[in-house]
Amino acid sequence: MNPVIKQLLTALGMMAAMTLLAGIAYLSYTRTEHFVTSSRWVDHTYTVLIQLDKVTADIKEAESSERGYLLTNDLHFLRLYEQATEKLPSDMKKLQMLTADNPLQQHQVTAFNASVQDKMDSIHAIINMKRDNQRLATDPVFLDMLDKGKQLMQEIRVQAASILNTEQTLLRQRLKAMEDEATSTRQWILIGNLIAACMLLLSFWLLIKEIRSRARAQRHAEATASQLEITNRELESFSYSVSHDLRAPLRAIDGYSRMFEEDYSDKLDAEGLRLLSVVRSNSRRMGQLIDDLLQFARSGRKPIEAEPINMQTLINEVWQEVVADQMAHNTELELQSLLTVHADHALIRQVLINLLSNAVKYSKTKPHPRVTIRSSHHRDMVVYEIEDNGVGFDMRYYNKLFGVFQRLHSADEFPGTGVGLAIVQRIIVRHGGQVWGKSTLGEGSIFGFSLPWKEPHHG
Amino acid sequence: MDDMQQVQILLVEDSETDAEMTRRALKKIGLTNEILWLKDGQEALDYVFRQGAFEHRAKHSPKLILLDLKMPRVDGIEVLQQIKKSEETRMIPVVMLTSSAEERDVVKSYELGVNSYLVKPVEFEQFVEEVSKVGCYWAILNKIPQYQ
Repeated sequence: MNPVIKQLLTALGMMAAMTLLAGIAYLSYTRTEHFVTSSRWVDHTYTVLIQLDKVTADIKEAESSERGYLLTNDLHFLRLYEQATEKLPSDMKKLQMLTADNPLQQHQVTAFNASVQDKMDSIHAIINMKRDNQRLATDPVFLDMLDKGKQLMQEIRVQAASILNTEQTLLRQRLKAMEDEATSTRQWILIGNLIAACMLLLSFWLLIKEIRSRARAQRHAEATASQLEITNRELESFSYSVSHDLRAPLRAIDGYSRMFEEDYSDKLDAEGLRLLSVVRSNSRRMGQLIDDLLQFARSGRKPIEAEPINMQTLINEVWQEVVADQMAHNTELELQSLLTVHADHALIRQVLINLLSNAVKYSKTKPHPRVTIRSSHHRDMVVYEIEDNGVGFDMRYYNKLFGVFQRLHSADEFPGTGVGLAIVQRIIVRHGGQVWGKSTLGEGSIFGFSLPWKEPHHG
Repeated sequence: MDDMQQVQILLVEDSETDAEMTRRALKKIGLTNEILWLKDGQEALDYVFRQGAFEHRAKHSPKLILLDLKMPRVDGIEVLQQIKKSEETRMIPVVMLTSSAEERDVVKSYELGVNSYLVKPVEFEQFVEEVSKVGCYWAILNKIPQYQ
């Protein structure tokens, strides 16, 4: 899978899961609020029913007091009646307030109230009649009033039953709604959590995969590094045995041909001596090749010990050595603003020896050989350039320039083994810098190298 | 080798050609008959400590031991270590004459008390010059204790 897509998927999965969880939290909160409200409504219904019972009880109390008075003429019953009439208005008012939320109930309660008022008026009238006139129970007017009172009571009962019924219906509806809501909330929470868990699992799985692939990459890198370490060690032991074993036979070839020359030169003609000298010059050349190769191997092995280098001093020192070595005292040297750099002194000295001796060697054939060295600052690198007005090289073969044993000139023209620039490149690259060269054939060449401005961290 | 004749230079060298060239160089400065050539480290130890084939040789220490590094059986480092460890022999000047210019070989030799370290040049003239200089200095000019 494309790593970018994988990362996007992981992030998306996480985000979706988090959004879902937040949604569930919100849902749980609002549904709990609803639930609390619903519970209040249930309580409310019970309060209404209790209040209705109270009013009904008041009216029944009033009626039974009325009956007791009619039967016994005892004033004690009148007191009970008065107590009931006192309580009734406030109880009725409470009932009205409690049912204010529902229009149907309000309507029913109003009608109920009217009936109750009628009933109370009827009771009041009957009691007054009894007290004032002391009428007999057989009086038709009185009987009619009693009958009417009974009918009113019946009506009140029916109305109370209706209010009760309505309230119970409301309660059932509210309970049902609450139940439904609770069920859907539970479902939502369950489903939401499941989806969130899936998304988190997906993200987790992707993350695990990512971690595993990184661990694999790291193991691979470590294996490569240790392989490299082994290769380096093998190269080291190879160069060690080269220095021992390859030199011994060479020394014998050179020594024995020389001994042969010493002991038998009087028996050899000129051609014999020439052939012998070819053997010797080639064995010397082979010795030089081995020495250079060893130096190349060592340049890659020596740990870098960075220190500040005064390039002005170092270049002057190397220049004296190179000019003396190549007997090129007529070569002119021009130094321009040489910056100090932080690098390995011995290795940079080797770089300068190789580059300067090349510059001198390839410009020696010119009438006015001249070498110019300058430095400059490019971002976090210091750049040094060595320019000569020598024979130059063909840019078509640039890719061979820094190769080991690669030469762009014949050994007859300019002696050398083709290791110098390879060593230069190796040392500079190990310092974290770069090397390059440019040339116009016959007019001269410029070789440059860059070194980090700050101290390199590794060897 | 004549038992009566005193060995001045012990040449320990496994390469026959190097040995011949070394002897030729030493011959040029008049050191011919006092040279004893041994082919490996074991022979060198046998000679120096008068054991094995050299058990009955006369008690006399050479003025110089020219020692190669890489040899079969016992190498030059081992021989150097044995010689410099022993009270009897540690005064004998030992000069390494080897192909190795490796820093670790040089350091190791000096740690063990070598008197000089010489890298054999590939070029014959140079080789002859250096070997004869060393032979001249250590076997002729240099003064060592005589009581041994």
